[in-house]
Amino acid sequence: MNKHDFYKEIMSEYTFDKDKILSNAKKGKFAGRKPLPLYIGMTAAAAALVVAVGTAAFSLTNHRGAVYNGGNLAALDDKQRVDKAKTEADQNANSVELYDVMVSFNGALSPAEVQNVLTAYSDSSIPVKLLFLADGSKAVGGEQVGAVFESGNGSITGAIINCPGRLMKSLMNDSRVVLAEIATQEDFNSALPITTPIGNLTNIDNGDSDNSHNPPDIDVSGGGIDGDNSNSDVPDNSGADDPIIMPQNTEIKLPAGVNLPTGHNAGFSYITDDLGAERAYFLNENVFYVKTANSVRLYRWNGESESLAVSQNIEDAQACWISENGSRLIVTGKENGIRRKMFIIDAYNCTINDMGAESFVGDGTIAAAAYNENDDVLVVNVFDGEAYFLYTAHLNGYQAADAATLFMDGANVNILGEFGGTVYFSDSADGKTTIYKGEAGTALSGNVVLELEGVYSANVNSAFTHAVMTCTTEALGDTESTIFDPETESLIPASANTSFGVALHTCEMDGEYFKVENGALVKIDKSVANAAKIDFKRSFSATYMALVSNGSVRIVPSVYNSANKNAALGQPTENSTEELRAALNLGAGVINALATDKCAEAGLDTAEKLSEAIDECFTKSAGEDLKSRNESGNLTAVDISEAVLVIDENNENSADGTLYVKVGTFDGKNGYFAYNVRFAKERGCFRLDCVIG
Amino acid sequence: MGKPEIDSYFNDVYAATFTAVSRFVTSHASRLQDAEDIIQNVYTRFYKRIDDKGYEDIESAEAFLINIAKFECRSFLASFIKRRERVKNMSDFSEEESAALDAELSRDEPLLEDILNNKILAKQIFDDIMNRDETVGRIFYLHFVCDMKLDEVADKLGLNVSTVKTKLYRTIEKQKKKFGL
Repeated sequence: MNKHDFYKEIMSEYTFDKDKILSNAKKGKFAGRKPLPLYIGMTAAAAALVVAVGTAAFSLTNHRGAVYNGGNLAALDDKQRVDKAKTEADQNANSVELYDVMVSFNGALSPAEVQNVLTAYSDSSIPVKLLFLADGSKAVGGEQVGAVFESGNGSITGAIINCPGRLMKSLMNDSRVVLAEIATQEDFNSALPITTPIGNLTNIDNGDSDNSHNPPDIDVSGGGIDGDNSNSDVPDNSGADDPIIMPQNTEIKLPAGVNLPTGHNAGFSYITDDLGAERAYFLNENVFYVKTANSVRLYRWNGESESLAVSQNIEDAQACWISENGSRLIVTGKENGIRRKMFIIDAYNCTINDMGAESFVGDGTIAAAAYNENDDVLVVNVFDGEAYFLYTAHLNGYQAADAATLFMDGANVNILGEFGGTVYFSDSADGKTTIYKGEAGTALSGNVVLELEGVYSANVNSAFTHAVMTCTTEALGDTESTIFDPETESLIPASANTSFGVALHTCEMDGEYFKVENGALVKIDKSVANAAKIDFKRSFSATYMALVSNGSVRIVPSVYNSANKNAALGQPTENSTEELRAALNLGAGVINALATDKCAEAGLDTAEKLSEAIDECFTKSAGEDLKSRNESGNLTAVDISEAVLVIDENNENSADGTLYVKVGTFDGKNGYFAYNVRFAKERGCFRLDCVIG
Repeated sequence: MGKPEIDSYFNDVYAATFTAVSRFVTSHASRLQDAEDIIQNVYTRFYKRIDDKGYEDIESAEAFLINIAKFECRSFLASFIKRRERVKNMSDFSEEESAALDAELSRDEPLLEDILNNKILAKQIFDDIMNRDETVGRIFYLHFVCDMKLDEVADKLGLNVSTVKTKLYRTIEKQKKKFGL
């Protein structure tokens, strides 16, 4: 027998009970209607009522991570229910197993609010089996539940839904929800939602809520390409110059009314109108990318103003790949609430192109995607509601072409990397993680490469060349991390804090830089050049950088300019005395006033005052040098607002050291230019004995 | 017209039309799970009709039943709106997957007969199909029982052929793994 005949037999035998129908028809018996759960969700339209097949919910055979803790809720007091719910939420944090879950709302909510709550955390539809109404009545089954939602009337205090276990934690983190707890059939009749405000129950620590509103994210090392790039560590250049703080015990006396500049240059800054921007970065010198809640856009930038080049409506876009030079970008996005779209963004041509991923995503959801540009291998992990399908494809122009199913698994599959057309991925079961490989373009060809004790999570890098795998099995140590190297099919011990950014083989680990070479980590310079390979978020422009500010995009000078490539990364520690620091600030202030032609603004509005200030702040010889360089136009402002003075030698009459002037933040680390500085004691106090810069 | 004659006529019509009626209902019912109830009502109405008024005036029992089925499909749970979005711009199911699917379905596997004889396991396999999204059940029924080609199934269900093939392929692959088929 072949499978076609097999399924014909199966479907003929069990789909309809022909004998029963025949018998009932002759008895004149009509069929009744069964109460069914109402399915809500999937689209933003709250009124979209999607009715799905079957009263029986499917259940994956693979029960990894699923822990059932249901019980008789009516027999428990509120506190016990809270504890139980917390345990259930924790134990099922990664479970895709479906449970009947009783959701107690924080007060009585409207039907629309309830739909918002219940659909906020799932990409798929949520069957609502029962609603508890504020008047004490219940709506049971699809028709009654549907009537409540359709009418929009009534106040709802609780609901019983059927959802994956992992949703409980997300629901518990929602301020509109008091509890989400597993319910049994018995609870349908006997249990009631908890109405006690959550604050009166107990402190519920539900752990990390960062991803509670999101479907499984597409991970890349370092928190994802579209991670927060608000760049809180980037100084806001729009602010006014900081006034210099005059030390109290210096003997240097400036002319009255003088307020010397720190050299902190506000520089260029431009802010757009409110574009609704959530992310923004320059992809090249002339084009910046903007992600809004419902679209991705490219703007052209001419140095003075922006103009919209192209916009594509797409919900919740997430970048899954960006080329090392920023010229191309692949994003996934939702259509009608389902992540099934893929677009490739071409900064050079200013185009946003639909990749046609629906051809293999179908009705599924994109759980992850990765692209290796060198080998032109695209891998997309598709979850179809029950299992994960790993597809490979390549780009034909902008289209994902020749898609083939490489692997299929009931549990989530981690994409690990690609090398020479071979795709590496892993899954975990029974406390073990298996790494497989398969040739792109072939069907169901996974072969085991390695087997590891423990369950490992994995973050593939943007370039799809390596993945950081972290053991999450507590018994084995939850900090054990390795880098998977596809080229050598080996694991390299690493830190959990390893980030590749958009680099192919360069990574940052605990503040140091390494290159993956021949299956090992080779330490490389801690330089801005290496930082730039990883720190892609700032800008792919050497001139400009885009920052998001309340929906607008602020454009400021890029820190990755040609001059900064020579800056050193580090964190020097100030060790100067108050007297020396004051002397430095005053001397630098005079230099800055001269170099930026802001003497008048600084209060040095007469030649006498300027001369007096130079005499006060510099030694005699340094003062002469300053005047000479000023006349030849050979002075450069020095930003001392975040400068660090490190004194190497110090005695009664002189001091030598290094002034580290911060030029920017690179890959989270400060970059400095270093200047030798010298002080000498003249006329009773230390004065700057050199011209900085 | 005596009862035995009605019953005899009904039995003949039932045997001759069941596949056509079930195909129509399977592809038109708002919810697949309602299909059996709808078919039940179709034949009950039909039986009452011929019991009350005879069947002499019925030229084509199948056409008559399909008309009843249309009415039943429209009226049964009409308050629910079935939203089935047609997937647009789908490219073809890959040739490799099509070939794999054809090979999968045509390969001779003696073990399958043993599974069919194991009623419990066979029912589990059936339930696994029906408990997936409702379209899967429809596709399996129309393709395997009603012998409709996949492009006909796609047309009947308002889906792209590629989607139909994908659903079929995925389900078979999952069942292979789950039940060792």
